[in-house]
Amino acid sequence: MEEFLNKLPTSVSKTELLRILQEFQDKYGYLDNDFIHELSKKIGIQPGKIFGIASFYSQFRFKPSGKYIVNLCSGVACHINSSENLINVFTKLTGLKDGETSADGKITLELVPCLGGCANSPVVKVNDKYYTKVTKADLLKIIQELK
Amino acid sequence: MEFTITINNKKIKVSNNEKILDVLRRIGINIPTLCNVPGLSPTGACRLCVVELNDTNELVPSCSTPVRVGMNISTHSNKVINARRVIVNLLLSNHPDNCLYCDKRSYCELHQIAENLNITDRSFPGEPKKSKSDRSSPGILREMSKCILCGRCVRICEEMLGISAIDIVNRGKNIEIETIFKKGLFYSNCIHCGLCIKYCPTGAIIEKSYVQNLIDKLNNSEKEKVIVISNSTIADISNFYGIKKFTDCRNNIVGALKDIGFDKVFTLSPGNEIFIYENAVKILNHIKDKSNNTLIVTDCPAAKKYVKSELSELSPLLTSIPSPQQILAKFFKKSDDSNVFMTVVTPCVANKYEAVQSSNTTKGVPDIDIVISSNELLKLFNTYGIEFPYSRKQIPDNPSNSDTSAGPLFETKGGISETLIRELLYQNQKSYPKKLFEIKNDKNFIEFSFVLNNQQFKIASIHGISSLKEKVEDILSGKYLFVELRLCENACIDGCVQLRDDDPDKFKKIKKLILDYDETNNSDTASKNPFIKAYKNNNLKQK
Amino acid sequence: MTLKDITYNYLFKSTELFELNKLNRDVNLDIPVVFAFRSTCSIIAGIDDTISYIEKYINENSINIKIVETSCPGLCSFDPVIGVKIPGRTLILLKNLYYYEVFSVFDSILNHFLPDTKFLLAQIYDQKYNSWPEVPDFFSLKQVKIQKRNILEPIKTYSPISITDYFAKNGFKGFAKVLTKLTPSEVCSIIENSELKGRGGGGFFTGKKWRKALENNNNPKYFICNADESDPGSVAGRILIETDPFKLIEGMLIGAYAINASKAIIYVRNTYKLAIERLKKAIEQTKSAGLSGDDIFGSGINLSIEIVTGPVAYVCGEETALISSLEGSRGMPKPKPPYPSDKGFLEKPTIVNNVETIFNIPSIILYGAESFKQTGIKESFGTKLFTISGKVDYPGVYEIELGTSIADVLSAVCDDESVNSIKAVHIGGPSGGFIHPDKFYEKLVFNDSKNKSNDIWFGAGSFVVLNKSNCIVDVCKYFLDFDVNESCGKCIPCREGTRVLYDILKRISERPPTNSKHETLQRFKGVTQLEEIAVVMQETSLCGLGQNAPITIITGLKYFRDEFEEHIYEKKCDAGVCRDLKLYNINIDNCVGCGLCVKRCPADAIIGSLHTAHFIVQERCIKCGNCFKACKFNAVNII
Repeated sequence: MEEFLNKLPTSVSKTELLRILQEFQDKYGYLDNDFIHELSKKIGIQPGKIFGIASFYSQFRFKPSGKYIVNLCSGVACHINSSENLINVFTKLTGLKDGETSADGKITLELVPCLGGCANSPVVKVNDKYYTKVTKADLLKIIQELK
Repeated sequence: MEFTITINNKKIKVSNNEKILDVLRRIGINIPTLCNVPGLSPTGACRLCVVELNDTNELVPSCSTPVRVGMNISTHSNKVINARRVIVNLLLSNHPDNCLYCDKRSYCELHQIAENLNITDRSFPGEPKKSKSDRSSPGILREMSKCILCGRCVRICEEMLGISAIDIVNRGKNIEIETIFKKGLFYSNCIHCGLCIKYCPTGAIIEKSYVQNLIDKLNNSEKEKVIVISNSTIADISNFYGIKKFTDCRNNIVGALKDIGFDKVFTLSPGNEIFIYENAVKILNHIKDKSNNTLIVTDCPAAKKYVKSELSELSPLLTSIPSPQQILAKFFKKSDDSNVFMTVVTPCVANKYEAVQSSNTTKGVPDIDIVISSNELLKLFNTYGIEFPYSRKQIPDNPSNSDTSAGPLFETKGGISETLIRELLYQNQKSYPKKLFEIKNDKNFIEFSFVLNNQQFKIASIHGISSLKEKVEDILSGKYLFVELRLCENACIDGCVQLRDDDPDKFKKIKKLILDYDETNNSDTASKNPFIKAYKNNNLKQK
Repeated sequence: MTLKDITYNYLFKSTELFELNKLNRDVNLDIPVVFAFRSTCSIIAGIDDTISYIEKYINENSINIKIVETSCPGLCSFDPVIGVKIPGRTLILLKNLYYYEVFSVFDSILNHFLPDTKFLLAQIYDQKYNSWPEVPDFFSLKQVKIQKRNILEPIKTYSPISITDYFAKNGFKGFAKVLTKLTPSEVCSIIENSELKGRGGGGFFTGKKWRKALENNNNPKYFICNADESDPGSVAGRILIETDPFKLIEGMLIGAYAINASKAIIYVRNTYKLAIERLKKAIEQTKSAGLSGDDIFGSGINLSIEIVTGPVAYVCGEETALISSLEGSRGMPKPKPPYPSDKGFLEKPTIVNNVETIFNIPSIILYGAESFKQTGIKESFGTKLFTISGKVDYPGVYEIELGTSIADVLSAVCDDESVNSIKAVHIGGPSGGFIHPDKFYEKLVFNDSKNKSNDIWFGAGSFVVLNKSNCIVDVCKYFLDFDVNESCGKCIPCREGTRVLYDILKRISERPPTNSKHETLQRFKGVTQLEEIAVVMQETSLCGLGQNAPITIITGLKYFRDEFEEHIYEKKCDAGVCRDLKLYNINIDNCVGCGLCVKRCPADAIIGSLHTAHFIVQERCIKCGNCFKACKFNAVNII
């Protein structure tokens, strides 16, 4: 983390804030307390404010995510093709709700408004792999593979 | 540029760039708002201040819409009132309805507005929000279920103070006002000034109450029960009950507290006087040593915390003398296993925070056992059915029985400077003018000057964070002999937890009470109190 | 010659010609060429696997084949689409070519045999080459014929990330014209004359907005592209960027020039990885071609373009919220006035235009306002991209000439039998509303917010088709759930209004827990409450999100009121979507205990031993109806 902070110029403008947070998260997976406090000194924004700003956006996490990030698409096309059932099934099987990570640190569930595969809905994405026209049975298989 | 617009069929003169709401307030039309804070930028969040533009039948928020030539406005048309009713109904649909147990009660602005709009029923479905609270701060209690997300506290904390201990977090249905990582105020950079309490329209941010703890102790503790009342509290209560003379009210309060069961009752004045005396000694030494360092004299725990954490370059200049109530705590509790149970009544939330600081505790127990606010004192009186003027008057106990008027004056805006200069001149030449010469008075920044040993000195009296930030350079440059610093704009007499009152000019009346007392009193500087003389001699002996 | 020299000669000396022939160099090669139509939607459909199998095929058979990566034609149901051009024959487009079919399909096609018909999409006729028998011409497909592809190419057979390929399509000629021949004010006039309306949802005149910013002399100014299109069900902006990033850049350079801005910023959603990747490459090339940077080709004009990736929040599609986000704050909308064209990014005059709007700019400048007005109808000139999804046979991104009727669009995207079962179309996503089949004759035109001519609100151009298996109440609930999560939470009407609307819909789509009088009364009030709240939200919300969120409900109530009432009074959902309205139980008198329902129940919700009456555990029941269908003794009742 120190290395990351040292690379930043001594004074950073506020317009750079979101970019820096994105870069940090890309590298370390989530935004942690110490980082926000250190960044606060450089950028001249109170740590509470940085937390408030970051929490507005879906991209930022404040806890480490699981090894597998499961994106269930909740876009309108997927909804019409019963993605809500998939979400319910996933929650029933894993006990995870949107944004939660399993206790063993393996699976994180994140609902996304639209993955863009409307023609092949419902779509599920695990890390970088897409699954299309997913049925309940497919989802069961996906979950078993992850476990 | 000036022009006229039509408001409710009347022609009204307005000037360019004025916001509609400001015009309406100016001409006495009452518009409900929940998010507006005079002096801070409008956010247009609550939408209750909407008015109708008659030419387009459009509803616009009056707080953020500037007047335009040819505007024709209705402020209470059917459409407007209906919109306001729906908005308030929406807010109420999941608001907890345990108003009976809410500390805000009739002072709740949401309650007031709902009443004015004749809302008597929960008209839209919704489950009341589940209780979720932050009790980490010793002085401030946040009950999030009552929060209506108007954002006033956030803007106060950000725009007025630059602290941002709390901010709006998340969005949509998960939106809430929270501290960093939702850890609670005590673990954030909150300075516990309590301004958010003052501006919160509902019971979402309130002071943490200790009255019931106090009553339990009163009945169950074997210890000697001592209570210290700040002069701001006395003045506030005397204003509240319309008692003309400061000392009358003081003696009333002393009598009442004795009847309730306190063994000894003091005013905060002896603490103030020692604080003044000790700082005067320091400053005279500065002058003697020709030191160029400005002393920042403050008794305000919030201001101290702010300087230490946010303006660390000023931190070495802070006076080392503890605050008056802590001075008295050390004085009353001489030994570790003291048999004294000490209560302090103040107008300030930060004092509750100060009391639990490790430097102010002995073996983990706070030296001041309980701090209550002026507001809580009134509750205590109400619990015991005490009405003022109280039949029994009593003089406070020694050393408070020989108070000078410097004690109360100290708690007003500019009071540190005035009392300290008096004391400096008194210690140096035994004479001083009653009224000081102000060079400058910019609302929250007053500059005084005085002559001591043929040398001219400047003093700055700074109130509020924004004026402090402006003066950092000047303070570091050594331009001032000393600087008075307090966080509340009108000093302690207008503290955040004084009695609740809708009167915006209350602090002026309280100040007048104290100034009247000072004017008619000859014993008006710390060293004139025989107690201080004794204290001085005692100090000398020890040295 | 450096790229900068080539660009200079091409744009200002006309010595370098980038003819279409050059562009079609790959088509004319004398070896087989494979075109991979690769975009996010085809990646999701699995084109990357298909490509790697094609490479494997090439290696194993050691044949000389060139693979060209280009961008998709927007017909998502055919993904992955692969084009194959073998010497002497026309380019043939293969649809739904998944990796496991690659080897057999290539075996036949490389030997001039047609593969199975299920892979045949179309061919692109060219007199020079022998055509494939019985394969339709691409341009005769009804899905292509319905479109008027002005800003997107019908099919792209060259790389989206090569600036010289873009030159061949007259790329940057518009910008060159602006630089050498037009003043900023003249550029604004052309756009004003074209009557181009913003494609992001608001439908304001783009030229007017530009003029306002031009006339404000508070420098520096900013030109911002809003590529944070985040409506569920709309991917048009992303497809545009992935297909033609240079066109976006050219449009932005022109726009920035027109308002005297020196900085152009593209605010693109962080999740659009491929679009960002292609855009970055395109910006890099534009820079090395000398078309952005300081003192562009000696004109004294400085223009820089940068990408900012948005950390995902729907409301950032609103311009003031987008600006707040760019400034590093919470993306909360601010009250207007002041408008961004007066006080925007960093308090300076700022123009925020949507991707699709900007895509229209280069050709308007190059060919004139009048040529733009040849397409579309009065007050709605040009084309509009719609992302068509839902219960259609050919979902995809369609560029439709404005003025086309909804019915025409539907008959092109559906097979005949499915057209008849359409119950409604929902256009405009969270800020749009339903269209009833009785209104399908209506033309797709911009709707003026002051005098509403119809119920069509484009929003970001999502076009969702619903049939009898979809429930209107459920779709309303879906969009409100979206709004509840995406409302920035600042103003009360939007934050609390969407929540209460959602609660009301939830209540009427569920069986009341008890049948108390109070509950029944509250249910019955549902419809009136929905209307009451919707109107106030429209009138008092701070930004477009809250003002438009109730349109779905308002149009839903207008056309499908009976469906709402059915839910409320009869506790019935015809589409069978609102399962929580139903309660299944077993009549012990009829039940013989055969156990068939137990076997069919997916949720283990039925208990009972053989030959005795069974019982449904309500907490476990997921209301699938299997037991009802399975029972031969009429023992399962629905209440």
